[in-house]
Amino acid sequence: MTPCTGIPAERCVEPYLQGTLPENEARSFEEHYFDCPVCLAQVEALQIATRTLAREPLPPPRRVMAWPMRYAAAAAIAAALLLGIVGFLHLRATHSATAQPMAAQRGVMAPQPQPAPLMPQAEPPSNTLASLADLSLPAYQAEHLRGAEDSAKFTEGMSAYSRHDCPLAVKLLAKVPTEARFSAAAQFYTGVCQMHLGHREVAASRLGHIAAAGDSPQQEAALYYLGQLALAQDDAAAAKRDLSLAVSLHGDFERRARAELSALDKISESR
Amino acid sequence: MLAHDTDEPASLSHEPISDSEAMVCAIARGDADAEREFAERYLRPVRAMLLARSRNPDLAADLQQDVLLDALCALRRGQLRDATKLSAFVAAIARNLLNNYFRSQKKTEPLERPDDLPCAVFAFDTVEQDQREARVNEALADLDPLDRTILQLTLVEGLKPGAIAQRLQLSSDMVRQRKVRATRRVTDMIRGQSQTEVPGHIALGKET
Repeated sequence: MTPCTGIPAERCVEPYLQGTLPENEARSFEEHYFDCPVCLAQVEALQIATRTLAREPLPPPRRVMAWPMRYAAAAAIAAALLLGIVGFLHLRATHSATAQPMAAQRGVMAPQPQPAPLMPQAEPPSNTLASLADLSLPAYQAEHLRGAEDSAKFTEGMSAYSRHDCPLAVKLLAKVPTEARFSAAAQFYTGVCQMHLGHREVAASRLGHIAAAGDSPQQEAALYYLGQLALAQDDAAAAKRDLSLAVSLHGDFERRARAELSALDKISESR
Repeated sequence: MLAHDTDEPASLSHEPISDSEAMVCAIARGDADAEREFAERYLRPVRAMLLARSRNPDLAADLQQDVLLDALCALRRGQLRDATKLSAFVAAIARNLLNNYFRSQKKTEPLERPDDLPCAVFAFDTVEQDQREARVNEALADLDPLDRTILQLTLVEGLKPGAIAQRLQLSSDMVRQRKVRATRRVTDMIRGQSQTEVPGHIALGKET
C-alpha cells in the first residue's frame, strides 16, 4: 500500500484535468499516480464526475434584485437577525442545564458545534465579552479510518477526547504523524483540548496554524474557537475578525458565530 | 565484507527487489501471469492518462490496449534497462502513442506484435469501472444542489472560485469551501473503494 495520503492529487488534479498544469508537472503527476492508488482514484473520480455533470444543463447566472426588492430583502434579513439574537441569548441562558454527552460514532471528521459546555465554568458577568466565549469542547463524530497504525493512534486520542480526558488526548494525539491524513484533525482537537485546559496561548497558536493553512474540514471550527479565545481575553477586534471569517465560510458554525457577532456589537455599543 | 567477496548468489542478496523489477524480469522470461498482472496494474492509470490528455473516452478506450501491448512487446525485448522506472516507461509509451495519433489523426498499428499477448485481461476491469461510476454518481446525487452546481462550473466550465462567485452572486470563500467539500465527497467515495481493491499494488505471486 502506498503511504501517499492524496495530497499530490488534491493539489494537481483540477488543473491536470483542465489541461492547465504545466507539462513537466503533468508528467511528474502522471508518474506519481501510475504507482499511487489514492491519487489515481481521485483522478478517476473527477473524470467520472466531469462526464456526468457535462451531460446536465448549466445553471443560468443569478440575476441581481431590483432596488426596491433589495430594501425589502434587507429589512427581512434585519428582522431575522434580531430574532436570531433574541433566540441566541435565550438559548445561552437555558442550555447549560441541558448538557448532553459527547457521543456520536457516525458521520464525518469535521468538528460539530457543541450544544453545551462539558465542564462547569465560572460564569463571568453577562455584559462582558468573556460571557460570550464558548470554551466547551466541540463534539467529535468519528469516521471509519483507514491506514492501520496512524489511524489507531488518532482513534486512541479521540477516544480519550470523547471521555473528556483532555490531558491524555493531548498526549496521544501528539503521536499522530504530521504527514497522516488526519493530522490536521489531530492538531485541531489538540488545540481545543489545550483551550479547555486553560492553555489559551498555546491553543490560539495551534488553532491559528490550522486556520491559516487554508481549506480543511477543521478551518471553520478553528476560526470559531479562535474567536472564542479572543472573546475570553476581552479582545473585541480579534474576536470580530475571527468570527467574521468563520461566518464567511458558511459552515456548521455560521449561525452561532453570527449570533455572537451581533451580541458582541451590542456589548461594544453599551460600553 | 565487500560485496564481491561473498559467495552469496545475486538472487539471495539482501538488496530488496521491487515489484516492478520482479515483474520486468518475469515478463522478459515470458511469464504469462506476470504479463497479465502488468496489464491489470497499468490499465487504469493508462486509461486515466489517455482520457485526461485526449478528453475523448472512445479514443482513450481504443488506445489503452495499444499502449499496454506496445509496452509488453518492449518489455519482452528487454528494452527497459532500469526496471525501477517501469511506470515512467509506460507513461512515456502512452504519451508517444497519443502524440502519434494527434499528428496523423489515425491509429498507427505496430509492425511487429506477437499473437500470444494477453488480450483477455482487458475485460476484467469493466465491472469495477461500472462500480466506480455508480459510486461517483451516487455521491453526486447526494450533493447539495448548490455544491453540485459549483462542482459543475469548476469541472465542466473550468471556472475559478472567483468567477463562480460572481456568476452565482456568492462570496468567493463560500464557493471555495463548498467546492472543497463537494470534491472530497466525490473522491472519498471512490478512494475508499480503491484502497481495498488495487490490483496494481499486489506483489507478484501474491493474492489479495
